[in-house]
Amino acid sequence: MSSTPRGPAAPNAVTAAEEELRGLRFPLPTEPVRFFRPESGIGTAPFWQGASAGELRLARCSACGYFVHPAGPRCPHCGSADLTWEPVSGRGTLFAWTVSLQAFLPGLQPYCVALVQLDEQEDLRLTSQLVDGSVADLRVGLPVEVVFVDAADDLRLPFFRPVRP
Amino acid sequence: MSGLRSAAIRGIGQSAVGRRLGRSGLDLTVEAAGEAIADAGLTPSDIDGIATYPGGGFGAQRGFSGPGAVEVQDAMRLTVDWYTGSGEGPGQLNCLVNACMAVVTGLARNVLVYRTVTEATEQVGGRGAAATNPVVGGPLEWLMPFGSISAVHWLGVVANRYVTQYGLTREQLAQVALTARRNAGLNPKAVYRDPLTLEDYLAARMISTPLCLYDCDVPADGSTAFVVSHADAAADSPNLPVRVEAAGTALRGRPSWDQWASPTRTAMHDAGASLWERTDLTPADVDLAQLYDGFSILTVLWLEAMGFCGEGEAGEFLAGGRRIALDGELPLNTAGGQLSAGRLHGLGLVHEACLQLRGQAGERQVRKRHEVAAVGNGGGPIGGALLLTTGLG
Ligand SMILES: [Zn+2]
Repeated sequence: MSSTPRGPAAPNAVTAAEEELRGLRFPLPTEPVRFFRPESGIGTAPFWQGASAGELRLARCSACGYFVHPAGPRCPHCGSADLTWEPVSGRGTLFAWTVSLQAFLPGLQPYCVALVQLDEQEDLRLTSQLVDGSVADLRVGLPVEVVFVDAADDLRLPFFRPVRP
Repeated sequence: MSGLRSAAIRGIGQSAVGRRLGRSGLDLTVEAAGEAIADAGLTPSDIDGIATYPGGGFGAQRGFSGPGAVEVQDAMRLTVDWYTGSGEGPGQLNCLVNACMAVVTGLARNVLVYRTVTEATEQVGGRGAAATNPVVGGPLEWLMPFGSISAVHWLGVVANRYVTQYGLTREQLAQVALTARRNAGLNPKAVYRDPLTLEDYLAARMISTPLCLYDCDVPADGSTAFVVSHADAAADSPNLPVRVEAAGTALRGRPSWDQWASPTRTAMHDAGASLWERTDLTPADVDLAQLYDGFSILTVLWLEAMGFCGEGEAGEFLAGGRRIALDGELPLNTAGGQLSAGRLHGLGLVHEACLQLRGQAGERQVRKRHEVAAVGNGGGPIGGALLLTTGLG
């Protein structure tokens, strides 16, 4: 099998199709966002408790400073079991995304699933949603910041929105 | 080097395949198993092992898991010296690799291997489960509460990452679905056989960008079965035994949907790498490929994971569809894949690889030399690969 040379990027038809979607906005939710509820059990509850308190908290190794997400019993870098939950800045950049258009749940409006690269550490990434933005905003490296949205009386979700200058 | 080389697939079988057949998984399994055992020139009394993916037992899901090994053992009144049903391993190929290991080590002589799904039947009324706000834990706790609730979301993110990295066009991506449909037209058992044009593809509704309706496979009911035996014992079988040259079973990165160092290099790349470490053959020796297409983007990634082209080059490789056509240099998903023939969840691709290697694929038989087939199964956190041959040695 011959290997093909990597030519210049062809006109990107994916982007062309998304052109039609360009006007699509992802508003900051005003109604509770109801997807699946997180178990919020041993090893994950501090994350969700932090979100409900309006803080993005992640597990961090006290010995070497490495953030561990998803949290585990030990630091995968140095082996320390001394992990603590620490607030992070909530700032990051958009790493990848998908615009969900099929209404998987009754009445579901289009929304943007976002993979966010947090500023604190190169490999610290969180799947979330981009809100208060639009399809036109979507690009790798878009600066984003956390925003907490209500999902239930006792549950808030850390979503992200573009940082406005 | 691979110790699996002395294992062979000596029999293959497939039940009726379709949308909502309304038959039980056990019924379909017994049909496929009976066909595979007869195809091997054996009788049920010759079967002394069972292997399935993912099997019954704890966590079994109706429609997805199929009947457990013990249910099949009982339904067919088999007497076995070894059996397993396991959902963890090199993707759906787990069951075949386990069977190979069993015959190579002498735990069994003739292992019945099967994978059964009744997802089309079970899907009825299944949608909207999240309306009741069920609780999720484990890896999905980091995806589903945020609205990343379907595999199309998990892979839509991966696909967009690939698009932004390498400039994959919709026309290039479409070739996976268009080729599958063209081949399905020659497969009487395929679920969707009507012609599909590029215009149809480009006009289809988006499910989750950049994946449209035709980038998603079709849930089906059906069972695929094999008999795996020691190659020495398979020599006198009525059909050409298909030898297992090597298996790719590695897991070297972080198995997840969203935590790989690079989202476009996942478990399948580990599987592909380990496959080639275990054989003297190279990607240039492969005559045809059956690469997992639960979503078209997975096939794109599999082309790179198996080394058929370099990283970021799959779009160019697919462009125009010539290379992957039945008469191309690498005929791909020759029965229509899961996109058009139905989601038999990986093992359907192995069945087709065997048919092609045996020269029994009917109208869709590739004309060129067909001695080496590559199969890749899985995506995201799981991946497995097989290299199958009919060459002597
Ligand atoms: Zn540490």
